[in-house]
Amino acid sequence: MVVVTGAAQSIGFECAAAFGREGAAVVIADIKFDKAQEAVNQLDSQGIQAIALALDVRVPQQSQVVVNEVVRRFNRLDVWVNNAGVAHHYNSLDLPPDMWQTGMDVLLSGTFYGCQAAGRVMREKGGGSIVNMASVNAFISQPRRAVYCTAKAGVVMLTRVLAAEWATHHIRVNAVAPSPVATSGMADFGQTQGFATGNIYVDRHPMKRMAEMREVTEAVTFLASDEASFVTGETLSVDGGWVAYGYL
Amino acid sequence: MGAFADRVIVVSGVETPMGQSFTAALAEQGAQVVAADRTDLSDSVDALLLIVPSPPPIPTTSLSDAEWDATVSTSMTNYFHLLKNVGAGMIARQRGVILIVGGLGGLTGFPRWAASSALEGALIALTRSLACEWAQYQVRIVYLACGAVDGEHISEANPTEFTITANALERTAQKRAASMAEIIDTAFYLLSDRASFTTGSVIRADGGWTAWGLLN
Repeated sequence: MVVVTGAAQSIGFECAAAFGREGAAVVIADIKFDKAQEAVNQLDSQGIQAIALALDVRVPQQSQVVVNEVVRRFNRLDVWVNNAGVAHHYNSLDLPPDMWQTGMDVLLSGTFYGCQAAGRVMREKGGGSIVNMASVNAFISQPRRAVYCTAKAGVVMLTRVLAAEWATHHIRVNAVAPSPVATSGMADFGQTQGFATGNIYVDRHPMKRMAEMREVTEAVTFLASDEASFVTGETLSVDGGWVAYGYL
Repeated sequence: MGAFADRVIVVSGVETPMGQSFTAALAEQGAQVVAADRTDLSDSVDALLLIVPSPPPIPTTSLSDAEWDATVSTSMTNYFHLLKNVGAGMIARQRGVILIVGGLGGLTGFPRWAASSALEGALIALTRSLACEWAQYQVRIVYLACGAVDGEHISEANPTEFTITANALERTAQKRAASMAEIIDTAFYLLSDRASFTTGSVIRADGGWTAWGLLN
């Protein structure tokens, strides 16, 4: 039984689909309930058991409600993936407080509330695995991404704290730090935001390409699985060498 | 058909308990395992598994020049030659994975393990540098940093090591050592194409050792 937050589309959806293909029942938890339901229909057509639940990760009680509902229906929770996110690009000198707050609320606080709600039931059920979506931006700064970089760095430390705290409850907590995935949205993103072209992202990778979606979902399903049973508190880079690279 | 059917995998450190376990597990998955001390290394090497031996602790003031040389200088030079030779073949074929399996000494401080920590730190730097240099040839290099491993660091036959690791188990967030199988599972993921975008990084299989910052 796997819950993925922000799973109505993009990486979250692909993570849910990857777990589904491995035989898991999945919960598509998303602030956009209609989109979550559409995602469920799509997974249904692939023979994957999925349900949609509304979740605004900024509200602590809502993660708990999702956990309660999952336990009521399935009486178990094996994996929780904190994927919900927002990306702001904004000159820090003019960054409006509400934009800072939203970024921190969704990316960092939302991840904590998800971990907390999932951790409570995992402790009760004898264990589980949590995977948080970090980013290369947890380690590599980018101008105009103050909120995103700061919150993602926070996710890495949160991952380590909870891993240390919950290890004896047999709860593993890990993160994945991808560089940008080559989605159709990503190709336009830098240009529409006026800060980067797709080529700049490609060139910054020693591998001279962007991540494929599969490469991110493989890392998430690996960390969630028993193959990684001695891996906890770790942030697994899926970045084609981005963070390792320090040259021109 | 195993996960590594028909793959040629060179293993350095086959003499260690971990090396022996890996060799058996790779063979079970269909790999053709070649010991790294062979001088006629095949041009068609798919993967290089470099297992860094874990020496016993020695207070640094008692560490002889010969011991330092053996652990740091000689090892590093041997690894350099191995990486250079195997890497050249991988570059020519535009395909390959190098996995270095070591301890945590390159990441955090271990008193009395100065030489092996220096070696591991150097290997981590090498991992990053080679990953950036060889990524364009589809050659990946990753460092797997292990915590206490049953069979490698814990041995009834070696009471000194056992004493050290009894404390190590308390120090590990999971309060236990890894089984050899757990390390192998994680290593196999990193060696496989499932990890095709992971390069130049350190992955820890340490049961939360380095995440843990409090007293025991």
